[in-house]
Amino acid sequence: MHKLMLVDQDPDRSASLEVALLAAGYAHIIRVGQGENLLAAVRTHQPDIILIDMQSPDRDTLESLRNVSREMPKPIVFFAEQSDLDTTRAAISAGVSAYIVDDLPGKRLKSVLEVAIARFQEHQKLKDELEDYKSRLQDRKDVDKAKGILMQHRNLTEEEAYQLLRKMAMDRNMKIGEAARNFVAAMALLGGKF
Amino acid sequence: MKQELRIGFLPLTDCAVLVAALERGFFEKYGLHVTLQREVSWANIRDRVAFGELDAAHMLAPMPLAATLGIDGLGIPMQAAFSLGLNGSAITVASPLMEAIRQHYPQALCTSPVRSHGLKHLLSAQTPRKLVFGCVYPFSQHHYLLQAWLQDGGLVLGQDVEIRVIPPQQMVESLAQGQIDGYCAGEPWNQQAVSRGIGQVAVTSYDLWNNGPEKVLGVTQAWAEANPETHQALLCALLEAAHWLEEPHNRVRIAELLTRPEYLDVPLALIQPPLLGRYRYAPDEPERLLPDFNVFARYAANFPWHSHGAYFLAQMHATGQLATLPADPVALLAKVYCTPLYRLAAETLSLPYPTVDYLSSVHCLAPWVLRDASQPIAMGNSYVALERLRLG
Repeated sequence: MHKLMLVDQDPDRSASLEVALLAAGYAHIIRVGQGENLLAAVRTHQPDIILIDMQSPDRDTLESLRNVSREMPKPIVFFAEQSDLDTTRAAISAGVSAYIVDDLPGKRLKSVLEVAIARFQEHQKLKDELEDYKSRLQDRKDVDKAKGILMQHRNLTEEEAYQLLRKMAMDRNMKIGEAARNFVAAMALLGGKF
Repeated sequence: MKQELRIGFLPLTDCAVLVAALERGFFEKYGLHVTLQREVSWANIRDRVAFGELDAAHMLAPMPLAATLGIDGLGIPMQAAFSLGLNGSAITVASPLMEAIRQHYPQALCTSPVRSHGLKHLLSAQTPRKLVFGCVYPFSQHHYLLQAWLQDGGLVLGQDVEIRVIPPQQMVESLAQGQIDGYCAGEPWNQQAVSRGIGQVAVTSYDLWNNGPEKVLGVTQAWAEANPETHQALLCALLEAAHWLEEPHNRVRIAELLTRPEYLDVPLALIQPPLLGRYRYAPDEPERLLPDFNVFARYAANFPWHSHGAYFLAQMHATGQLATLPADPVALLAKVYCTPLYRLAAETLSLPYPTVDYLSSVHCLAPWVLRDASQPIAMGNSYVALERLRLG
């Protein structure tokens, strides 16, 4: 049975990937998080496959093991052994990279990588959705603030203030939230207290 | 012509040419819409360029050669037609070690450049221990400079000192935690150690090699073949940006831009002084004047010299990265360091360019003039201090 090591700075993603890999029948999984000494972990656990988050700066260190000593495992970039360009591209775009140690046969490894790609993509989607939600919430707050200023200073109704903001945003080719933020900032600069 | 481009970079002061080209509109001028993408490792840069997720990237000068030779772990051929500048890195040593050398072997610090004999003395006198030095990537000028500098003082690699690969942005923290005794990296990562008082610069790359190679713009050979017009537009934009960066007041402006969170995200005080030729070696010393610490365009800095490539080949062989030297190095270097593409771009901009590919080894301690050029080019010092770094 292959021993898998997951190196990920995001503990949630790493945990969900572990679950998926366990479900796929991989029993030996070691998780290494941020701040842990990756080289020491590799030396201790001697994994066969290493999956690493591309946001982790440790990749260069990991790869340099190839040139170090005989007793150390020698990680080989998984992509180099793979003729399947689509999987490779999907992995890079999802932000996960894989290493196999020495001459491990590549057949089952593709499925490991595919599980990882799926988890990374799913995680990214959740993150994007959360970001989107947060920014929409912020936009609404800023638009309300800008509307308030306009209503007070130009004696407008709420609907009129909104339409004015919308026009300002469209004229400047901006999102309404951004236009509202700029407007509030400009008013603050002019000495208003809002 | 492909106009939407993604270009990768690592947070280092010498990504300045890319940032200047974007922020000052040089990419736009040549019809390119560029997104700069910050990466965390050279391996990411290599993979994303190799598989087309990035069109081009800030690369260590030997990287395209290692890729074409197939020794970088991937073996997807790459090339460079543009050098992003000269010099710009340094070897930092932990402050307690430098203080110990200053106290016990002050004469070791009285040479220029400072050599590593002081470290060797310390090792021989103290209880035996192995030093650990960080370098940024196996295929880097930093690695070759560091090895040469350590060996020059009699330190034996593997026995007295181990070299460990650590990404540049993690060097200072590794030094602070005592995991390493020193490192060779680009700015702002030496100035950061000095300002925190935990490290002192022993030598700069300029001290070891006046006006030596550093970074290039790397692309895959497949990309260059598929996008010749875009490649030329890119080279023209970068040439203009590099020349823009040679004006001192523009250096002030680029330093401010580089502090932004999407670029280096460190205080101005760590970026600006070296760009303006003022370099601090130790916290308790005044700044020294090093006007050529960062060279972006002058001295034919952007030309992808084959002589630099030949030197990388020799270093790869000497350090065991390359088992056998290639049968036809001239043809290989011509494929990797594309001088004709550079000349075409320079011609478009009416800028002078070298007409030869090899810069014969001049050991010049004073400025000189390169006459093997479309118009004579003023060159800076060309002195290589250590024997191991000299070619032929």
